[in-house]
Amino acid sequence: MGVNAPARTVVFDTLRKFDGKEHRRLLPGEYIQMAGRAGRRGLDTIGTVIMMCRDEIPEESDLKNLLVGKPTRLESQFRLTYTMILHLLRVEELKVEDMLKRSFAEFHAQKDLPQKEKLLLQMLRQPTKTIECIKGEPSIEEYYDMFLEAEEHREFVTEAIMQLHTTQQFLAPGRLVVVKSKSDDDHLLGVIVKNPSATLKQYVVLVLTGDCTSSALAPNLSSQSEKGPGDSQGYFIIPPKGKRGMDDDFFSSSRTRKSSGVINIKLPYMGDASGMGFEVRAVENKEIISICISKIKIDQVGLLEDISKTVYAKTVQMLIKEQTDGKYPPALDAIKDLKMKDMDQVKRYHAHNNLLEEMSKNKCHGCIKLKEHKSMMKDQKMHKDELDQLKYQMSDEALQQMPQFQGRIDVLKEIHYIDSDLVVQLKGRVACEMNSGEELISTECLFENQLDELEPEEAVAIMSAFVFQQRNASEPSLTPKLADAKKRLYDTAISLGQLQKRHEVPVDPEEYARDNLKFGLVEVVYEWAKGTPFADICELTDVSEGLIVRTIVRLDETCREFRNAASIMGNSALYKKMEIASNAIKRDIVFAASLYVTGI
Amino acid sequence: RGHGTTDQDGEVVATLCGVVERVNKLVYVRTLRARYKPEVGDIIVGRVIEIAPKRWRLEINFSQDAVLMLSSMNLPDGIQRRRTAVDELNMRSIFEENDVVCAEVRGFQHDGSLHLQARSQKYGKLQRGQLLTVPAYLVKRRKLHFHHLEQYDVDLILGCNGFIWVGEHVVVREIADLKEDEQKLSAEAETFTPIETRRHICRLANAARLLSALGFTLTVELIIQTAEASVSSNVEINDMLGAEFYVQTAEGEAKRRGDLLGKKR
Repeated sequence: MGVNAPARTVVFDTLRKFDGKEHRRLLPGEYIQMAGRAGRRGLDTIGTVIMMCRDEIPEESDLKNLLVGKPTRLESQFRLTYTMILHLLRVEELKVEDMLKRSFAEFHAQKDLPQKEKLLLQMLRQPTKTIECIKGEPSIEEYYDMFLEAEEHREFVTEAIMQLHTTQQFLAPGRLVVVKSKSDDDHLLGVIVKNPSATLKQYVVLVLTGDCTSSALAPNLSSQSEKGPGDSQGYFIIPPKGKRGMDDDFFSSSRTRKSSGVINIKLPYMGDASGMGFEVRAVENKEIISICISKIKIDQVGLLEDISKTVYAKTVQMLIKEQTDGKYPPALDAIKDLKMKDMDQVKRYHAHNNLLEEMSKNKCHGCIKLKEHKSMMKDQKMHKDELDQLKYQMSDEALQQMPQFQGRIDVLKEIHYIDSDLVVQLKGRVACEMNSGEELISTECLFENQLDELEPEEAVAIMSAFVFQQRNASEPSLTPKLADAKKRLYDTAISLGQLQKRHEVPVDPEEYARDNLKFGLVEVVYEWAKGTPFADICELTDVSEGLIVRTIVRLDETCREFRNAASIMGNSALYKKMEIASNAIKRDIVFAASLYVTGI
Repeated sequence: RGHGTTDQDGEVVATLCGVVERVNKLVYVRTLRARYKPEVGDIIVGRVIEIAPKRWRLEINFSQDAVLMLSSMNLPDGIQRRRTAVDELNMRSIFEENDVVCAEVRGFQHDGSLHLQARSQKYGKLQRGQLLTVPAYLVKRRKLHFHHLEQYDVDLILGCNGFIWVGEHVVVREIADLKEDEQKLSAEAETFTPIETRRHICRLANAARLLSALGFTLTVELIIQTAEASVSSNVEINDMLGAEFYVQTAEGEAKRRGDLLGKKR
């Protein structure tokens, strides 16, 4: 691609090339590499790049992409292999995790490491405010945990409740409900004014928001309301007689006029009545915490359409009556009234109720400082979570290759290459020797004595499956013995592939066997080892001569490795067999040092 | 057919007296009291017997001497560079004869002798301590061979060849601190090991000797346990090798094994 020679000018003959697989255009990265040669350092001030346009001028867009396009992103090609793991486990000094940390894939994470460390130290140094309980020992933590859990259950349960068809019957206008307040704190008692319709998909609920003072802080009254600005003061301005709506004083709270479904007020609509602030707002399903047993009579029209003050006042009064002792009226029982049947939901409902009971037994329940403590706990928890997250990122567990590494370690443990303490065993040591040929398959082959009954020539022929590198060679015709041996080796590979798959190493057994064992040259090597001349063995297959020579030379290396393995295992028969095999293939043209000069 | 077996008239016959092990289809005989058999990656403690051109020859518990090349050893100033003739002449300043050295097996040479390397900070010359010899088969290969016993401030190195080193703790330093290291070393040479540390070293060494005489596999936990048992029974250090403590230790171990067996059932 690039030539390491300085030049003043670079001339591109074409902008297309063949990269071994297809005829394609140059990539921007390649262009940069090649064109960058132009201009010798120290000698030229300018380098020139010329593109020859023979038949046609290239498109402007193509050129633009080539010249200023983004070069290919650097990606890590780090592959975690068993050989690497075994070698690293043998040495006490090194840990495999350290090796993983140094690969390019972890580059970004490791680059930020010093910053993260500083941040961690900073965070640890922040003093954690201790929550002081006025009632004695702080039990706010448990309370908060229960609270969170209860919230979870509640959400699930309310969702479930809302989906029950029986609920819809209960959620009619006039039903009292407890609604979640916006400040995430106490819950508010309210009454359903209107059910969701086509235009508004939420429930319209009138809730009591507490004392007058709270509503004084929310002066966002709708400007559309006919009342004057005096409403927020908590007293009533009675408009002069002329302006008074005719019906106001004389109508009772229940109207006979049917509601036309129109909402004339702007939601949320806040106001005051009978010393209590109220708000009419649209709520979602999930904000309804519980549905109460009681119902009151409300005048939908009066509340939403005509916006009559008296109606509001009456509704508020009724609500206040229901709210006995500051507690909410009892809620519908999900199982009895709403007929919740699903086992999961019922379980959760019970769990939720139990938690609520526990919470009420807790000291913190009636405490005035509860709100404050809750928010402090929340902050603390957030802080803790951040700290944990940071620690996790900095630790070994966050490495990208970690799951695969764990999977491979499990595979090695299962086939006894390493023991449970990660100490390399005999099989592992033999596997470390295997550099040409897949380590697991070769080691299993040796320990299964698969080469035992074979003659040296046959053994070396089968070993060629490890080193041959071409997929689509012609099928060789094998003797029965060789065919058996081939099948055995293939089966071993498949079982290893399945084992790896079981332990979550991303390997497909069929592909694994096919990639690592290529039996195309078995017959050729067998004949060669028996002494057939080179010209004859080339006839047996369509593989090119150069590839045959290359394969047989690599095969000699494999024989040497198997021989070393045999000496580790103590298998002297195999040792001798490998020596004989090695000598059998080391002859003639395949091992000639030079094709042009003889005798060397 | 593996180590210790041979083929006689189609039958596999053992040539050694020992335990038969099977790995897949490989059958071999493992003797109980084998000679040290080195593997690549073993941690070894040895003693320098000779200085040869560009290498040291060490005696380890093996049939042949191990070779530690000059290039496999860190230079005192810590710089990575080619070893020159001057370095060769100064080999004596790094290791002399009869120095105790800790190293790692890198591989085998063609004649079967071992090739060692000592490139990490943990390897190298060992000072201020005791070297003991135990039969090699009592030291099993584990994950860790270097142990730093904090409560005693003592380093314990279980060499796979059966040489065990118990000595004063050496703080492993980074290469960047070497300058201060030199100054400190000269200051340290004047100070002696504190008496308490020396007592601990002796106690641990005696514990190891005791266990090896009883034939128990040596592990750090067992050595520490024995040393603590001797302290709790108020046995003097020099009495540790006496008959009473032997019996006590043996009984303790028997009890522990009995408990273990009972728990398994």
